[in-house]
Amino acid sequence: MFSLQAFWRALLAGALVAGLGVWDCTQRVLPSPAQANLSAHSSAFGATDLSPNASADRLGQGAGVWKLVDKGSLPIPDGALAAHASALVALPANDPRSVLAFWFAGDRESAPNVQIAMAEMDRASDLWSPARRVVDRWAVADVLGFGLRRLGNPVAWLDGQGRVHLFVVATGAGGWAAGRIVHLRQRPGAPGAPLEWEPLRMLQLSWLWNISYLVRTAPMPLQDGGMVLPVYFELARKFPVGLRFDAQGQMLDLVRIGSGPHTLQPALLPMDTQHWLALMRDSSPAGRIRMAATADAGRNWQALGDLPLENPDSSVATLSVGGQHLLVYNPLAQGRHKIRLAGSTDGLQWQTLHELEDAAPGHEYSYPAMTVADGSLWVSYTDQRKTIAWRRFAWVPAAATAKDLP
Amino acid sequence: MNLAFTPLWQTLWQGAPWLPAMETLRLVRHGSWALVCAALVLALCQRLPPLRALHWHRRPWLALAAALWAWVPGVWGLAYWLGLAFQIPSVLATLWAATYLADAFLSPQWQASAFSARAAPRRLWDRLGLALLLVLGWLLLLDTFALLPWSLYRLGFSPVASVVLLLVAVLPGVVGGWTAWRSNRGVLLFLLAILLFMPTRWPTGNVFDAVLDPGLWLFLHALAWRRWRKS
Repeated sequence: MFSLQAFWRALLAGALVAGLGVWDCTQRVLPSPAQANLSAHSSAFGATDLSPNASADRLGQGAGVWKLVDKGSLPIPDGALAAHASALVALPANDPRSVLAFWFAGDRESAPNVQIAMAEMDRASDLWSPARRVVDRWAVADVLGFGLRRLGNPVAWLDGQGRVHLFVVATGAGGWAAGRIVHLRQRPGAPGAPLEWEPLRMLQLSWLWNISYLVRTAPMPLQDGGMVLPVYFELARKFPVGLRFDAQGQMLDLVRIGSGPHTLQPALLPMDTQHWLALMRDSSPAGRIRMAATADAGRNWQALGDLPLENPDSSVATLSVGGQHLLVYNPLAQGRHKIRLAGSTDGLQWQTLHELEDAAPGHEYSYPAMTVADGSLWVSYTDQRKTIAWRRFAWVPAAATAKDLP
Repeated sequence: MNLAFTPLWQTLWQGAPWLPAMETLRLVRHGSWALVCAALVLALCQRLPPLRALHWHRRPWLALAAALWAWVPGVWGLAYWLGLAFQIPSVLATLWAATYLADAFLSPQWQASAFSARAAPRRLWDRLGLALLLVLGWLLLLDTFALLPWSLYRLGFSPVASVVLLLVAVLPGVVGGWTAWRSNRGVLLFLLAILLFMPTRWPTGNVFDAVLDPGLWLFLHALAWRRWRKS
């Protein structure tokens, strides 16, 4: 029989659970519905610094072409023999730098001396600054209080308060499959001052010693100033996950984009505020780009199959500019000796815009990144694992003539 | 439906993760590893015949040395390398280690009670708790590899998971009173782990990490196996 004592105990326990539960709820924010920011890249570079023929509002809109206006290789830090996995981020118009580039540099991929390197594009001179090492695993480990074995892919993001965040792969006991993601943020400083970084925390994404989550592709900005950071799991099974952050860089949610077992490095594309696509590297022998879609702003995802584009199990980069969707990928079933910029209006049918590289088999051009700054499209990618190549494109509306280009 | 109730209900399920403060987490990591390492060393001294013959299980020096080593900051510290591989023990594992050490060094009857505990009849709530944690661990492992149709670990960041586990933890007390907790130490530690987690968010902000880590889960398999063989 349920005794009177048990009744009082149940009442007390119920009050304890309810009280703690309500208190827990009051300590948290309820995330607003996510909406992709379709003009995020226009707002990032400001109207004052645009080239004469491409305004922020019209970039990529209507008929026109992306015309190559400049190219080169990023400066390499002293003594770095290898460079890989670049990331680009555009800075606000009041900053003397227009674009920051990050990549990992050292003796080789996964070498003990690999650090995250950075170079800055000076807005006035249109020149890249000398590269410098900005993230050192020993210094980050000191702050976090535990060791990091190796550093890998960096991804950069500008938050709603104009601060740059870095997400960097850092391995534990093992190779990349034991990877975790360190979250760093720019320390406060005057505009234009050299950027310093403070490690905030290791992103907590998995119960199994928090291992095997990595980051590679660029965040997709949201209207609330936050973003969705695409990450992926790669121990035995590979599957993509979307992490939602608020405008201050606090993680709000994590949602599986698919269950794998061969899809990784998702690159997000907003079709509208609610309907997004994820284009993913496929580690199976299929040699294609896999695709998933959400119609409710990332709460639920459905696999869409393959894009009709060849891809040799290699990372892709995507960007939406003024209603036009851009994709950089290796257009081969095998080998990374060719890399291409393609454009689309629906994310499904892609047209070649530029062959960025087309070399003999054995060469490698891979791990692309894109951003829009100063009225230009910036593309970077790994060149032979030795340097980071970059290209700058200007949007030329159909009405304009080539001689008007800057 | 009450309009004020709707946001509370939504927050219960969809509230943003509430994460622990990084400043204290550093100390917690070192402290947790210190306790767990000391308990492991003591358990080895107790069970390995060569160490047992030397009566090291009655002397705190080795366990104390392991604890101090874990407290050493930087690359010379044990916590630095254990953190690299395993991040941080769960609150439950830490509490378990703490009570194991307290029993060993503060209770003069530890030796006798340790042996009698093994021979004692199994406690119902402890057995249920053990089964619950084993099943939870398997589900979390499957979820890690995306082999479940929903994401269980994600739920651990929401308030609803904490509330449900707290309900489970208070159940023995409701049914059996204080005696149920006193005679089922594992269940009491489970309750304490959740009560400690809710305000501090240790160690990760996810309640599943507070009540179970993979190391503890593996140990619970060994414990279950030993009990099953003796029963």
